[in-house]
Amino acid sequence: MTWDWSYAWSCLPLLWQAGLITVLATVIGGALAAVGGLPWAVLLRSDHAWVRRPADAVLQVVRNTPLLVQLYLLYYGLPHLGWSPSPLVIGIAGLALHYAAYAAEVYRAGFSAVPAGQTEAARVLGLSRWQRFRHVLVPQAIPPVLPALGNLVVALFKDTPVLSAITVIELLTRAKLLGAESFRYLEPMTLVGVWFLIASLVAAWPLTRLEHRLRRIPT
Amino acid sequence: MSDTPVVISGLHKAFASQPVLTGIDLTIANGQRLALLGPSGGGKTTLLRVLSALERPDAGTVRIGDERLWGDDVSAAEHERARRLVGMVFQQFNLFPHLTVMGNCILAPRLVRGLGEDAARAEAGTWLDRVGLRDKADAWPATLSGGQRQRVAIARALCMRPEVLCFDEPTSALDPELVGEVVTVVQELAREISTTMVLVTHQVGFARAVADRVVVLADGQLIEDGPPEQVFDQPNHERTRRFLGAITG
Repeated sequence: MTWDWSYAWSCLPLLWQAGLITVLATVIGGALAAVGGLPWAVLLRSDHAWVRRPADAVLQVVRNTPLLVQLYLLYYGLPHLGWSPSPLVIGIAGLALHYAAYAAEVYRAGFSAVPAGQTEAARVLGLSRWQRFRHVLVPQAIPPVLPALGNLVVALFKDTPVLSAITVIELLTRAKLLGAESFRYLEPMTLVGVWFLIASLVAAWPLTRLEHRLRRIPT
Repeated sequence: MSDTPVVISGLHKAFASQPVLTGIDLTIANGQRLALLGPSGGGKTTLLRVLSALERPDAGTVRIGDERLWGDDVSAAEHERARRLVGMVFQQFNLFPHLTVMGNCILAPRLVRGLGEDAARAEAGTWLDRVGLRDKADAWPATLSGGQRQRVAIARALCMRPEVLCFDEPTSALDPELVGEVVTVVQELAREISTTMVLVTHQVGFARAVADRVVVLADGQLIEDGPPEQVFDQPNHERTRRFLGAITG
């Protein structure tokens, strides 16, 4: 089998469309996971067991079951509850939920690393609970965990092909379909591989810059 | 200056059924410089942490001026008002590492006292001047020496204009050659401002230089109370003599 440039070119428009679905799922799913993980981590650190325990139980369920199972449950379960969003919406929600659990765990580690003396100093200065969180805890807990959060977004990105299970035609599924139609898999699959690599590297760049910005502060 | 004596009565505190404070009664007059000494585990730091509202006592009351900090049926609002009257300087400084020296000093005045940026900076500048660190306003805490960090922590506490300023072993985490600058700053403040000061320390020299009253706490009880000359030179209790002998070598 030799590489056919003209066939590779002809694949590009359809792959491009499917690539947009992948990007959409990654950006929205990743943003929701990163944002949702923070309040989840706050619940995990609650002083009240009746808040902490349920938050931790849900976390364990989400983290310790396969993403595929969660997607199927949402896809076939939500209509029974009278709500039938599009497969893409369900897919993004599933990815967001799954990775929010991992993000919560990452944030929890970040908060635990802030010394107790920081909270005490803020308390004695009269800062309210919210002010302590916003101005003392978050600025110290988040920068060190940004690389871990970045890794999660990359993992989510590479998990997007799982959405094909619930009929979302993202990049990899489109490549398989193209291959099935023409019996040529080399070109679409190679293009998908290159696309994922380039997208990961491009996405990593702003994250690295953000890390550098936040690391200016000597510690 | 308002008249805000600290009145502590019947204070009890235990950690995991291990009693640490067993019935403390202590009145600290407005503007007094009180040094709190005693063997490790004697309850000094716990008393200071109860006074600064970091620790809730099991029983007893603490009143700061007209406001009750701890006691039966003290409302959350009154507790909060009383808490605002107390400042604290920690052994480990506890500066906020993500903020500059100036940022550390203006955070609480802006958020809690509601000062504008300019007013907060101006006031912080005068306190930084007092501790000799105005030129370090834009420095990060990590670039400062331990002595400088502790002086920033003192300025940060004063920016909240506390009526009572607590010092929890402020020189214990410092290299020996840096202790002097912190002692000097506290000594100068004790001369120049009327804030009530409560100082926990292991250094007799520090207590002599700053305090006008010395209290010795051992096994959760006050066993000595008097002016520094009397407590250090003619202590009443054998326990105090042994303790002083141990720390002065």
